Amino acid sequence: MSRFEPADTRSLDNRVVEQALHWMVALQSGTSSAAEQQACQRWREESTQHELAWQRLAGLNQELRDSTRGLSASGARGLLQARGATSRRTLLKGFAGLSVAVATGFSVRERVLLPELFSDYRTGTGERRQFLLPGGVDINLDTRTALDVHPAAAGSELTLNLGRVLIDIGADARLSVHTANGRVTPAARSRLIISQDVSGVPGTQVQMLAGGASVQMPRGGATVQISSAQQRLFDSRGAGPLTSVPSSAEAWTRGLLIAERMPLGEVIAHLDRYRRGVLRCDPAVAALQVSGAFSLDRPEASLDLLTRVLPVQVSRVMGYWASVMPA
Amino acid sequence: MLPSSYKHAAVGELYAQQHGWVVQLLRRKLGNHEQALDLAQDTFLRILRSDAPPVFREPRAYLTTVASRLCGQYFRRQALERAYLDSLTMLPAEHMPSPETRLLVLEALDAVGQVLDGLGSKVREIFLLSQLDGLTYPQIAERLELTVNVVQKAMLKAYRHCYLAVYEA
Repeated sequence: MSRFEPADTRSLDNRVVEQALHWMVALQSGTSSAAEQQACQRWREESTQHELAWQRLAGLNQELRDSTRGLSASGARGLLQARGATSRRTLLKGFAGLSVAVATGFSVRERVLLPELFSDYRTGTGERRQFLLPGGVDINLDTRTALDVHPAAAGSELTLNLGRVLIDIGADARLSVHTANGRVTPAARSRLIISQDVSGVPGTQVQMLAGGASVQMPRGGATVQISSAQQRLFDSRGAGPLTSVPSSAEAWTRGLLIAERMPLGEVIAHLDRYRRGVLRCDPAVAALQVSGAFSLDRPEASLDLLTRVLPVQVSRVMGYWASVMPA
Repeated sequence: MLPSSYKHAAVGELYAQQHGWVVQLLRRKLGNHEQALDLAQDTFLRILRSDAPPVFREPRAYLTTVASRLCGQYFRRQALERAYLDSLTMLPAEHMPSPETRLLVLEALDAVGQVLDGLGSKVREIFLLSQLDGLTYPQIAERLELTVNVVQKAMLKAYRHCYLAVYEA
């Protein structure tokens, strides 16, 4: 088994590689401007050599992330640092008796399909991820989401630490989801979205798209039921009122935010989760009502769209900090 | 004579002359005879597969370089394995990953580690904070009490290193 293999064997001018390195480092800063990103795009389109160099670097990124998938970022980082920080003397201590596992034949692709890891599933800013759990459970993670998965005798035990997840449960699957505000146990064949502390709303929101679920509130609290097409927020004060799930509740899985007379402040809070950096909304315009479809995958374009339909302007500082203010 | 069989013959001769010496060398480094035999085998395999010309002007210096590199990889793999097993001891038994999963995790991390080998721990930390934690350069700078400029330079160094490790190896 070998990894981090070259993706191609074509020859590439060192100067082109060096340029690609500079672009990649600039664009990964989290502070690059739209102009810089466009300039990079233009550079890539200038020649196939440029694009090839860029793709090689992007491939390295991907490989790195694939190789640490299933581990928390801090866990993987700590282990890699522990691996690198060795001296022969420290290593020889406790050396005896440790046998080395030398079996091979597994590939990283298989590893990704083994979700019985103890691990965190995490998504970064602007990232969404889908995977399957044993027994036929389809999981969709939204941006900036952290989910722990523990296998258990009675189906999977999930812990949603932060973010938003869409769960589609097969006929024979069983699972429950723990959050800071309760334990959600959906019935088989249910489809639901659970959000934890998302977009300025503290607490756990449960949106039933199909099927039903029971929610047990923490510290021996009451158990309440939620039926199909209902949603409910659970926070420190307990269970909120039952309301109807909006028809656009699943739009984020397709990278869209569908606003139906949504306050601008809420729209901005959603876009903020998809955008690297800090995005704020001036209270003076936060109550403006917005209707429309906005791309979550291209938050800058969505901000520009807002400036065309509302009396607002966006002030950007180095592309990283942005505020939506009265025009 | 075909170049590949010529190379086989040259490495074969090297093996016959130096194998015992390499095992001794590795045994001193590792303190374990079985492991020394394994790594000695790997050393000659590595030479056989490398693009280096099969002319060994100073065979022992060359063998020492290759064997030491493999030794280093072995030690780092051991350190990784131990850190990983340590981290698992805190898990309740029912959440313990299976042996297969543990091996896969280790293999994958070790592969990343090999690409990062040769970078200083500070540069490595900066690179991993950016790539794994998704922190921005200003966030990394704040966290490690560095300037953004230093972070940027470290990122360039790390990226270049990884590229060379994969594409120019």
